Amino acid sequence: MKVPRFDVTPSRAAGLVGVAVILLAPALPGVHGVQLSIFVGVIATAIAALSLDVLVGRTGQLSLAHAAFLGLGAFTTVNVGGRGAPWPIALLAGVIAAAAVATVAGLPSLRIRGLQIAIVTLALQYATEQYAFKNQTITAAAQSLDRPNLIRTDPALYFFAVALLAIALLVRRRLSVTRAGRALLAVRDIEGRANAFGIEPGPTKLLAYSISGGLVGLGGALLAFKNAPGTLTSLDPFALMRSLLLVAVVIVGGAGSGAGIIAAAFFIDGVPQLFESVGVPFTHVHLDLGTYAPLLSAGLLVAAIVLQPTGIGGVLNDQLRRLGRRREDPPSPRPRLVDLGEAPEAAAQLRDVGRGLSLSMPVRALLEAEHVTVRYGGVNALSDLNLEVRRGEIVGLIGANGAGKSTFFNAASGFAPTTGSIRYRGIDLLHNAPARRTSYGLARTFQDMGLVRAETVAENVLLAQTWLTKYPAAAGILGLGSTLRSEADVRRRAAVALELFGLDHLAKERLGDLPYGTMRIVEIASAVAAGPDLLLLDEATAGLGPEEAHALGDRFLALRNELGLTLVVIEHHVPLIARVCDYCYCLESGMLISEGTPAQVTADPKVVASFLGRAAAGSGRGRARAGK
Amino acid sequence: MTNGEPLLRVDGLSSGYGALRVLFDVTFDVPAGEVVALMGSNGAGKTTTLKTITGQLKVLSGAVHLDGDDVTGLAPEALVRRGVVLVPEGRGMLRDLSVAQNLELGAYTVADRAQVDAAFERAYTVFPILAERREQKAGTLSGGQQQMLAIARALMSNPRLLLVDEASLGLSPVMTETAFDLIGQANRDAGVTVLIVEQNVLALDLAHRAYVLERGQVVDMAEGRAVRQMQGRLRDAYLGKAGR
Repeated sequence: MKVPRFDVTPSRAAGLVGVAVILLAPALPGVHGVQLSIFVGVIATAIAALSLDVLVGRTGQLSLAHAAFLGLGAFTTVNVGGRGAPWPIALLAGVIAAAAVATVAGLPSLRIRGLQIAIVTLALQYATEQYAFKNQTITAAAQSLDRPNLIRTDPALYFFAVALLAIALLVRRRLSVTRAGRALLAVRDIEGRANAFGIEPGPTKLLAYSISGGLVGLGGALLAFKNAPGTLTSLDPFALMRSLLLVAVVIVGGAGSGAGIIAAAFFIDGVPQLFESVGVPFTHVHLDLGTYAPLLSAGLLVAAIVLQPTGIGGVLNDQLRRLGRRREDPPSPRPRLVDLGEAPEAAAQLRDVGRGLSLSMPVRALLEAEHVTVRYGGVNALSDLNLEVRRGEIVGLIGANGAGKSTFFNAASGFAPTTGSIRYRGIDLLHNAPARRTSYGLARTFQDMGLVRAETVAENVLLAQTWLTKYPAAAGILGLGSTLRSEADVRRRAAVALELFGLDHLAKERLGDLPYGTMRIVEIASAVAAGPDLLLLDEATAGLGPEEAHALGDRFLALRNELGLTLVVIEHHVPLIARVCDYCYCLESGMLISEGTPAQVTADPKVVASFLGRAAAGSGRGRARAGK
Repeated sequence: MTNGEPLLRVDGLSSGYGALRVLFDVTFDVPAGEVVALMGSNGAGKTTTLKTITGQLKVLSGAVHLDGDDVTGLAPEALVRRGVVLVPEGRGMLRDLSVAQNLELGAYTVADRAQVDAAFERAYTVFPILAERREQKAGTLSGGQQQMLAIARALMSNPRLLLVDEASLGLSPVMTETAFDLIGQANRDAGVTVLIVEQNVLALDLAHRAYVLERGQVVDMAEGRAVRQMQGRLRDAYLGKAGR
């Protein structure tokens, strides 16, 4: 029988220690009711900061209204619970109210970015403080909310808070392993290109706001119960200063790091309260730490930014990674040369995608471009281009730099203002959004990388398959059966694609840490994992040496022969074109100057002059020498 | 210049990314006035070598000497003041600035306006297309034009030593030749010493001296006529594996 082995990695060990400390806190010597109540407040702060980090870490946007959202959650809970509703309903109401308001607050993010968003949320914070939190009819209900029996004792309330913290962490975790979380990273880092994966930036951003709002509402509800009955009188926890403190917690903790943010919440919010008055050893002097709290957090903030821009979480990750590395040799940063004998199996697994389009549609060519013109400013990047790509062909697109090759890919995939017509299986693509074209079976790579460098190789391959995972974000976070199956499916596909390109040993490496040539192959593997019928590859071999380029050529042939893909490749590597292409088009200054078999095109004097240059003669020399 | 002292001496250099060690005891010389090629395939440590020399990565051990002075770990801007300029992989354009503004930045350390004007004149003569597009945003240039701009920009400050990271990346064959020609021209006409990092064996056409980097170590070296033989060796090795 197979015994499941639990591998104790450094990060798991650190996590277990953290959980143990949190769970055993009430039993620590010297901890009593007052401290526990402070801990509960710290946990509420941590939940709010974790929620803010969903925005900061995943979308790169800053909200200065999170204290207001926290207050909206708290007062909604108070009002619903205070009128006699059962406590779970009151809590849920707080969550929903905060989520709804945050979503509305997110609407401007569809048009503006960065600093402007921060200012809009600042205005929202101010207005909420002035008009909602100073409104007696809203705040008076605090008098009538009673703490539920279940959490009446201090330890019970503490464990309730820990449970809510666990929920917040779990939601974040689920977000990071499902489609919505990946879509958010794509919108953050490659917004203009996320569409190519079937991601719509607008709804994705609003989703981040609603999830963030829901989480902060959870923290608000916790504060409502903590202060029940009737002590939710000070509005300080919901004031602008509190919003700024939450930002500080996220920065000191490190965007994206749950553990770092919890630790930062403890240092910034908890320590000054726990040690309000500290005796200096060997003297009779007592320092009032409460007074110095702002100084302490300001100092921590400056130190964090100067010494460690990635925060506590960054330090933790570096140390844990270092510990982990000691136990194994670093992987080679290059793709392995794999035996393509198993390609047919990979093919069967990768081709299996549901598509609304009928394959049997009788068309002359898979892709037909007629009179395609792309104009930027006064310059024609493409003029009246006509070309066709038949099913099962590998078509080469060559030409000097600036000839319009990438522009044609942009036109076909929906990233350039195009006139004329580009038909794919008889459907005019120009009337369809980029995401729709992806679902029709088009996938492409970008000359300067359309992936998220800050993420791992595996995450990027999953990201490229976003259009295949159709489940709603909420279902993903709840981990419903269908989403788990969908995730398992794309993970299996990712594994197959990585293996096909000899990248499996690099799955967990950060993409940006890999050599350029390897990154490019990861992008091709990602595009293939998305299950396309037509693959547009922009300078696939850039950054590769001749032998790696040759190996990639083998992959192209396998993609065609085994997976049945049709390929259009923009390529400067002449031997590769000659070896794999069935047909070739050469562009110059946006116009077609030559077409035919690779042999015909590379012999065309116009092509030699504009594209090949001495290399044509050079490779001839090389051959002559090899023949001797 | 001291007799026999190379312009750049890299001595026993080791470095890497965080816990990942990439370079192991890399040693090579770049004599003044020469073009030196550092050949290696994807992941061999070429870019890492340049990043370490220019102080973008922490040196774990070893030293970098410029003109006999220890410049190990010196920041990129300090090296620019000493006449060492890098043409980075992926070109490092400021995409929202115009061609002319990008060139202007290349001359940032040059105080004398007349010199800057002369540098502009030179750049536009050598690269007429840049003159044509001087007002255009760099981000809208094609890949090859961006590579041209990157080289032109590096030459704006009249460097003594030019470090070029994969000039041929993403360039058409004809454009690759042009890029190499331009680098060779800068060396011959302006007397710029060049360290070029490449996997394209054509780079050896202009090299006076070459080193081969494999898995972070220098495994082969050639000088003068032997560079041609190395070119043949590398080509055969590549073709051998490629089995054409």
